[in-house]
Amino acid sequence: MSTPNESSPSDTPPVRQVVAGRLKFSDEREAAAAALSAPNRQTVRTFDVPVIVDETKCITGCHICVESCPVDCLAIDAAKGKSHMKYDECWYCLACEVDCPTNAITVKMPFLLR
Amino acid sequence: MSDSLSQFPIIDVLVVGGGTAGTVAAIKAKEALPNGHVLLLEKANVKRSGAIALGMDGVNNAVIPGHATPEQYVREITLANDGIVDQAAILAYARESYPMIQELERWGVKFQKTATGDYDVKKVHHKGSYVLPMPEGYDIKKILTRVIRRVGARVENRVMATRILLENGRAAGITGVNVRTGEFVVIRAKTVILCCGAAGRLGLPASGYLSGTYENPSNAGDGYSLAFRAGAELANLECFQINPLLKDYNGPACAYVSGPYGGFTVNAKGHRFMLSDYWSGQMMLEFYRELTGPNGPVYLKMNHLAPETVTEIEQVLHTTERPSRGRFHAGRGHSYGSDLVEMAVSEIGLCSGHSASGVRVNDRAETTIPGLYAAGDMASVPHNYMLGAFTYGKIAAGSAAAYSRDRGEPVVDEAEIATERARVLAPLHRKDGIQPHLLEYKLRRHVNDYLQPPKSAHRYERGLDYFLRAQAELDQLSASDPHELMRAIECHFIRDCAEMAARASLFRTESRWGLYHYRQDYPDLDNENWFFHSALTRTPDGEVKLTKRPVAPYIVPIPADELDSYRRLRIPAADPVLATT
Repeated sequence: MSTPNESSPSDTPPVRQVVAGRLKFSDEREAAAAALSAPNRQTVRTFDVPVIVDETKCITGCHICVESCPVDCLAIDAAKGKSHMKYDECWYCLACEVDCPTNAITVKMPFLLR
Repeated sequence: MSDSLSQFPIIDVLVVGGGTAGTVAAIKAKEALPNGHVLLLEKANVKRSGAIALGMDGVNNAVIPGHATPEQYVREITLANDGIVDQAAILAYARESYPMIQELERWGVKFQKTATGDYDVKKVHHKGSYVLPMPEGYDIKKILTRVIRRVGARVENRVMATRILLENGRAAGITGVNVRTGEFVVIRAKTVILCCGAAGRLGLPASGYLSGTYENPSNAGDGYSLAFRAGAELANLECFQINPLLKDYNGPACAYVSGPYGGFTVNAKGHRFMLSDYWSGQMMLEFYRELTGPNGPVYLKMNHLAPETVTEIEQVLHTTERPSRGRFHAGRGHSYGSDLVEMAVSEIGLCSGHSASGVRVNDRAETTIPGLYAAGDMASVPHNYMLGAFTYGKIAAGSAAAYSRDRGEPVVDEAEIATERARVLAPLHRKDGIQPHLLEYKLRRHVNDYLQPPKSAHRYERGLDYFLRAQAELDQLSASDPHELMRAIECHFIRDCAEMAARASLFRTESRWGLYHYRQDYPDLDNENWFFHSALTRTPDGEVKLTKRPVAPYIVPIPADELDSYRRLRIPAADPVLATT
């Protein structure tokens, strides 16, 4: 998106005139080249995950579910010492739920399949 | 140069992948070499890994005396594969099938028996009876894990192989990475058995959910790619795996379980339209035609069965293989007793366990590279399923153990290892690169766009063009931790499999195996020019070659009037008796 240049001193020749509502590139090749050389930037997105851990039942120090998961999507939260779903990669296979010694885990169907 | 070299002794038999084939391979290799070094690598944890992580409801290809003979089974599988088979490899399985069942029983696996104590074999195939239920099959992986411990084979969990190391064209070990710590691993081995499962993360499920695959998503095609990069020959990669599955859930329904109880596949009018629910290419083509035709969608029908029968089916389907099926249906307010079960076609994959595409092996599980063996879903023995994986794991272990005895100390190339180490670990050091899940989605979306049958050359060339360009995108992957590094490396495997699937499909200019290789631009079977295996290899300088490999003369002759029996599965709509039974 182009933004208006609010304070450009009149004696400095602008490298390129930037005007709201107009593209800042003179042609598409230049735009594509600039886009390709611009660095990648990431953002954080929030997911509802299928594996729900009841932290009151989850045993600190136990990592049976983390070892059971065939896609390695569970991990122990270092701060809490409890299991949680760290990566959005659940195969809804129920290994964690079946193997948990305290029934602390409930696996929901991933929303896209529900 | 590599710290990890000292961590492992020289291994006699190195098994890569601890699923169905790999666990048995490790057990049998250790039994053959009690004082030798047998090492099993698994990228997950052997107790819950591979295609049968949550168990299996039965064996689909039991060849049990009194129910079937090895020769009958070879005939059935030859016919189901339109004749393009290596009968010697199928026969080797069929002869070892029953001894394997007996061995599994000794290990504690329970099979269904009749009141008189006979194996309760069911008929699901078009012609013979080979399905043996395992209603308590939910703990099979735990049983195998116990046996591994008992025999003393060493297991390293959470290590994923990245390349096969060669020494003058022979297997000499592997490089790998620990997917929890990011540690680079080098293992020298006299023999390597690849048991890496299907290429299950090739197509994208219709739900758009990356992990919602038919196969265990850990099976990313690792073994196909490892063998390809090592220069081994791969067979019939155009013969895709496509399965009839529960719509959205994307797991098996499963007609093999419900069929013997009286369940069957119907169209939207409630009519049967095919004679057999056994998964073959032609069955999938009939299924696909009905699904996309005016009488679609397609359903599995069980609501005509007695309530106690439905309960029995539910007990099996909701405790083994994919036990979350029950909560999927219940979540929608559906049940087998009151509703038809809507079905759909799976994403494509490569998996000889269900079709015929795999790393070429002979009846001794040998690949075309000395010292390298393959077994299970990634090895080319067609329709091999779970019992075939067990059996070929055993065969591979016997071959590898024998070869290792006369094999000197393997020598690996330090320069090659250094290059590989840099390649594997690069995503951890690359800032602001592409996230693995994004590239994976893009690769697999292109697989769906261009490779999902029906096939045509124009679409396939567009797909291949992208898969070649994707090489440059792989070089931009970054990973924020070792787990993401695993996903990044798997993108390489997926891209390799997509390229191979595209090239092999373009090569075979005919249609064969029903939907698996249905070419709109070459719609007819062409035995005159294409009664061959396709053979794909990669030269060291990266050129991919495809050739025709002759089908070995049959050991078990096929009567002429049976040749097209698997192509006559369609029940004509005009046949009201067959269509409504």
